[in-house]
Amino acid sequence: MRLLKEPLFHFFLIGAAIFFWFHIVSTDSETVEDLETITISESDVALLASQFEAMRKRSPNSAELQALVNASIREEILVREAKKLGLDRGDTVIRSRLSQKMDFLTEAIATSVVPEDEELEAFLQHNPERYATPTKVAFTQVFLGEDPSDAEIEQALTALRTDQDVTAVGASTLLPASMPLTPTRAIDSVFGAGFSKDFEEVETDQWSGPIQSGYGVHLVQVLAIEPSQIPPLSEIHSAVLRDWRRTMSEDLALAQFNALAENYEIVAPDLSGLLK
Amino acid sequence: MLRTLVCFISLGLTPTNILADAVPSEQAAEGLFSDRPYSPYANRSFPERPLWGDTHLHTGLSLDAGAFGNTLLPDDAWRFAKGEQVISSTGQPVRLARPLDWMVLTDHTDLMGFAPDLQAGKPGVLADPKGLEWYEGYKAGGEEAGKTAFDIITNFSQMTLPEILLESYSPGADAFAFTWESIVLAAEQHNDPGNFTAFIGFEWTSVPKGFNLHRNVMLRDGPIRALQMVPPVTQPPYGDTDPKSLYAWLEEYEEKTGGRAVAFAHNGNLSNGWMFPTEDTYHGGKVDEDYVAARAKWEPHYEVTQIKGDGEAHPFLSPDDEFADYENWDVGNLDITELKTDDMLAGEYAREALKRGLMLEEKFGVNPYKFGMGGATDSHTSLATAEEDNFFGKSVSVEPSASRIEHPFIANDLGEIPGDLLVASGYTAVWATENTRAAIFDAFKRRETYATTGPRIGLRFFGGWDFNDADVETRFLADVGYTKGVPMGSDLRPREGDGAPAFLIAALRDPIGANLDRVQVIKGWLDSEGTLQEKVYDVAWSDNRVADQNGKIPAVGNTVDLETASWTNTIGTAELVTVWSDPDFDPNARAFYYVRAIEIPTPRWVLYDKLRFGTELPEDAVLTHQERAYSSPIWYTPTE
Repeated sequence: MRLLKEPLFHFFLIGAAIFFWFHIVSTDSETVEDLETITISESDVALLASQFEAMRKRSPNSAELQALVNASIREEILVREAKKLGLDRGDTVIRSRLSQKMDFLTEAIATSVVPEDEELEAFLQHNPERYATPTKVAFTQVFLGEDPSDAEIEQALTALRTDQDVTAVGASTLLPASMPLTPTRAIDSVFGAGFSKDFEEVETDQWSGPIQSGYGVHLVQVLAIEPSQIPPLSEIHSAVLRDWRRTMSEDLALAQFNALAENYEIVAPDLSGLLK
Repeated sequence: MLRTLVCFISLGLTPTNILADAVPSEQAAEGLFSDRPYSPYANRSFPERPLWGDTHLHTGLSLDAGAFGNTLLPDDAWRFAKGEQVISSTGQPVRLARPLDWMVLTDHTDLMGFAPDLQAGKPGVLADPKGLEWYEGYKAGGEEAGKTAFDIITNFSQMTLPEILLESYSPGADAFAFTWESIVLAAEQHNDPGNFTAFIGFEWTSVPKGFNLHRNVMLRDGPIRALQMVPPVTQPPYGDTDPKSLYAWLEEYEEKTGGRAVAFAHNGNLSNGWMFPTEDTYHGGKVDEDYVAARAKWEPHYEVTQIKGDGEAHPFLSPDDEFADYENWDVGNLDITELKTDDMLAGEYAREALKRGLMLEEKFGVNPYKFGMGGATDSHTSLATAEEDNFFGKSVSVEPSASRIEHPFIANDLGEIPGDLLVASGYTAVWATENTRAAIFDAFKRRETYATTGPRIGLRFFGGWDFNDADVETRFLADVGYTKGVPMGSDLRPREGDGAPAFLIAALRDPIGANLDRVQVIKGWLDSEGTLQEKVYDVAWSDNRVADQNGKIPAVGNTVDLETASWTNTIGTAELVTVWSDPDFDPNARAFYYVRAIEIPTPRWVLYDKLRFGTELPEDAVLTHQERAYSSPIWYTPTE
C-alpha cells in the first residue's frame, strides 16, 4: 500500500495515461494523412478566431477569418510535403522542440499532483535547514584590541564581572557595542566569520571570552538567545509546496528519462581518454 | 572650550596636534547622556550597522540577459542573494561569501519575459521569421548564440524589433502583465522583514542612439500596490526614451496606488555627456525649472560604481586627484556608435554632477543633482557577485572560464572595451534602523547610503558646527554624531557661531577584508566668481605617514603577491576615526562634502583568473587596485 502513496508512482500512472492518450490521438491523425484529405473542423476555425482575438483584442471579420483558414491549409500541405521529403529530420529547431515537449509533459504532470500534508511534513523534516528560523543572539561586547596579553584579558574580565561600567573597560571601536536579538550570520557579517559560533554554549548574562573577531579579541556578555526552530507546516505551507514541487519535478524528469533510456541500447565511442 | 577648539581647527591644525588639549571623552559624553537610562544601549533610535545590498540585478527575464543564455529566474536570484548555493547558467555551483541584507531586482521592462519564451521556443516567438531566426541562433549555442544576442540588442537599441513581437511583450499584452506579476510575487515570497528585504523594482532602459540614460526604479510597496500598474517601457509606441515619461509614470504610480517609488540612474560614463545636463537635454528639452524639480523629486540616489565602470571621478576633470584614475571606461557610448571626447566627461561623472547641482541650485533654487551614493553589480547572470575572488561577470557569456577575458564587452569598427576592464563592483550600504522595505526605502530618500566597490567597509560621516577632537575618543560615536550633527546625505544645520563646519568621520575595514590606506574628504563648491571648484583632503591615514611638500600623503605600499593573489594586512589600519574641519571654509559659498575611504592594494579579479585557470592576461591588464567606499555628501547652503 505504501506504493500507492508514493508521489512518483502517481506521476507514472498519470504519465502513462497521458502518453497512451497521445498515442491514440496521433495514430488517428496519421490515418487522415494517408487519405490526403485536409479537414478544417468548426473547432479549428473557432481556435483560429480566438487566437486572432487574443492578439488584436477584436474578432476577425469574415475576410480575415478566411485568410487565416487559407494560411493554415497552406501550412498543413507544406508540412506534409516537407515530412515526405524528410525535411523534418536533422532540423535542430524541430528536434529541440520535440524534446522540450516531452519535458513539458513531465512538468505538467508534476504540477498536477497535490501532495498530502504528511508528504509535505516529511519533506519539511528532511530539509530542516531550508525552513528553520535563524538562531538569534543578543549580546554586549568589549573590544580589547588586536593582540591583548593574557593579563589584560584577565583584568578586563574581572572588572566586568565586578560590575564595572562597560564603557570604561577595553578599547574604543566602531563595532556595535551591543546588538539586539540578531541572526548569528548577521553578527558574523559584522564581526567576522565564526565570531558567534560559541554564543549558544556560554551562560547568559555572564561575561565570557576571549573571543576572536576579524579585528582582534573581545569579551562578550550574551543577553538572550532565541534558538533556531522549524515553523509548523501550516505557517510555511506554500513555501514547502513550492520546493516540494521543484524537487519532485526534477526527480520525476530524471526517473522518466531513465525509464525511457532503458529501452535503448546506446552505442557511442568512449571519450574518457580525450577529456584529459 | 568648544569655541577655542573650533578656532584651532579652522586654522588648519591637524587633529593630532591639538589632541593634548582635548577634553576627555567621558566629559564630552556626560553632558549628552545625563538623561539616559542605566543601560547605555537602551532607547537607541539610530542604526547600529549598515545593511548591505545590491540595487541592480538582472535575471533571465531581461531581454539581453536571457539572449546571452541566462536561464536563472527571480527565484534563483533571491535565493542566491540570501546566501544559498545555486547552479549558475553555465552549470557552475556558486555562493556568496556573505549573504546580502536586501536587494532590488531590476529586470529590463522592454520586452520583459520575451527571453524565456525565446529560450523555450514558444510558438508565438517562432511564428515570426525574426523570432525563428533568433531561436535557431540561440539553440546553435557558442559563437552563433553570441551573435544572436548581439543582433537582438542591436534591434532593440535601433528600435527595429519585429512589430508583432514588440506588441506581444509590451504593456497591454498578457505576457507582459504576467511577467510583471511573476516578478512581484517572487519578491513577495522572498521578502522576510527583519532578516532580508526583497524590493520590487525594474529597469527603465532608455538608450536612444546608444546614449545610456537608464534608470532603475525601486518601490517601497508590496504586491497590492505594485500590481495596480505595469512598469513603463521605452520602445514606441508603448513608451518613450525621454526621462520625462518615466517621471510621469512615477507620478501616476504614487497617485493611483498611494505607494512610493524612487528612480536612480547609472553609467553616466556611457551617456557621452547626456547624463547630467546643464543646458539642453538629449531629448531637445531645456534644463529648466520643471526639469530640475522633477529630477530632484524622483532621483535622490545615483549608482556611482558598477560592472561597467566606476563613475565617481575622472582624471581629466580632477587632475590633482591621484585616486581619480580608477576603473574608468572612456571609449564611447554604450554601443560605441559615437566615440568619447573630453568635453563630454563633465556630463558623466558623479563628482562633477554634484558640482553642477550647486550651480543649478543657484540658478533655479532647486538642486537636481542632490543625490546619495550607491554601488550595484548590474550583473545579468542573476548572481549579485561583487567580490574579486568570486566574480561571475557581467553576463552568462563571461561567467568564470579560462577564456572569458578574451571576450570584449563590446568591439566594433570604432573601438573596443576589452573583457579585462569589467569591474567586480559594487554594493550599497544603507544606514537604516530596520531591515524592512519601509526603513531601507526611507533611508534612500534621505540619502543615508554609501557605495563601495565590493568590500564591506564601515563608514560613518556626520557634519555639524561643534564636533571636536574629544569626539574621536568617544565610545558613542553614533550617538555623538546624530546628536551634535547630521548624517551623510543631509544638509548641514544652519550655521552656528562664526566657525567652519566640522565633520566626525569614521571608517572600519571589512571584517574579512583589507586594511584601510586613508580616508579623504572631497569638497566641491561654487566660488564667488560663479566658478565650480573642488579639492581633495587627506584627513586620516595609516602608518604615521607624513605629507610631502605638496601636502600629499605618500602611497601606502603594496603587499600583493602576484604569484598567489594574496596580500597581508601588515600595512594600513583597521580603523580610522577623525574630526576634520574645513580649513578653506567660505560661509558665502554653496558647498558639498563627501568621504572617500580607500583600502590598501588588493588583487583584481583578473589575477584570480590567472591563478585558477592559468589564463594569459593582456599585457596592460591592471592586476592590483585600491577598492573604496564613497559616502553620500553633506551639503552646506549659505543663509541669505
